[in-house]
Amino acid sequence: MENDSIGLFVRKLFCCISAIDSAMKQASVRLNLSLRAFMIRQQLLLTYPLIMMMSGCAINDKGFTQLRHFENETSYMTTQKTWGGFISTRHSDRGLTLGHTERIKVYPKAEKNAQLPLDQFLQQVDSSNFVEINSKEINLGNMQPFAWIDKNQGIMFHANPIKIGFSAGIELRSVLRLSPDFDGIFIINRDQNGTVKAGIQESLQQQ
Amino acid sequence: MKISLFKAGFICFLLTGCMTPSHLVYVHGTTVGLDVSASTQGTGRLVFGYDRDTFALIPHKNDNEKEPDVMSLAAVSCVYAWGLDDVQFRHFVSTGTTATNIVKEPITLGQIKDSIQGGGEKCEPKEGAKKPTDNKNTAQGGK
Repeated sequence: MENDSIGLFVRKLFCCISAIDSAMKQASVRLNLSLRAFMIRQQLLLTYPLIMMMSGCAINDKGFTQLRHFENETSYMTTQKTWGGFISTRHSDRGLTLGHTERIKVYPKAEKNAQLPLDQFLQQVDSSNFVEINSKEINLGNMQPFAWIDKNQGIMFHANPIKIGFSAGIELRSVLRLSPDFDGIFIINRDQNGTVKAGIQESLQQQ
Repeated sequence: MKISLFKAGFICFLLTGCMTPSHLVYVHGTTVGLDVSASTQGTGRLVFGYDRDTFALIPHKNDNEKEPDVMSLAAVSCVYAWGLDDVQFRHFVSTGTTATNIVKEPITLGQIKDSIQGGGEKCEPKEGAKKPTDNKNTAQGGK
């Protein structure tokens, strides 16, 4: 089934390319400006990334971006959407994206929470939804997220601990990244509606 | 000759294995299009088309080559992937002394498994969810 989608994708891509080619060729014959058409095609290829950048530009949380903050008992969550050029200098997702980006990150709260027995902690994670808060109420600063979910469309250059490289197309990624010093429990759930629930407890109370 | 050497070097660079991870990492990713990547904490790859990738890295707690001490870990995961966009997951990850204590108690492990699987016998999506194409239920214990 996954191979089918590869075939379709490649065929669609070739269809697009051939359609553009034939349109350009017809235009050049009609106008007898084949050389000019060739130049325009090259210019389009070069200016496309620039057009994408001009439609919107953001660096971290500044610029053409929508950043929202949420919290529950044990963790913070941020959701960010950007359109156009987006540069992230944050350690977890450092890189450049030209296109559309959606990012969800889950951070632990700095303060220690009440230590619950396992069954109560599992119930707490299931029952506590993230509530939106004002961005001024929290300062995530240099905190590292425990988990993040990315959906990128367009052209991406990555330079982060998980990936160094170049991508073009669509990519989705969910990442958990815990420090070796962490001693405790981290739970994260994502349901069919895309709703994220998470819970962090530094160490478990013995039952 | 130079071009061949460059190509060979580039492929070796991409295929270079994972370096020693500094963090506990779990990654589930899907790519449609072109992807050329190397990584300090992942796997290098060259993809054109469709690719779905899942991996986990567990770091050493010390650098002793003779007796490496792997980070303690007890984890249960349930992951569904339907199409490109619909990925559901439930992860339970415990580390350190907490993980060591959990692994010693079968009842506690049972509770965790029930919670992650939503009370079912198997790792299945909740009522009303779409049929999964990729169904993974993993339990890991370190040390």
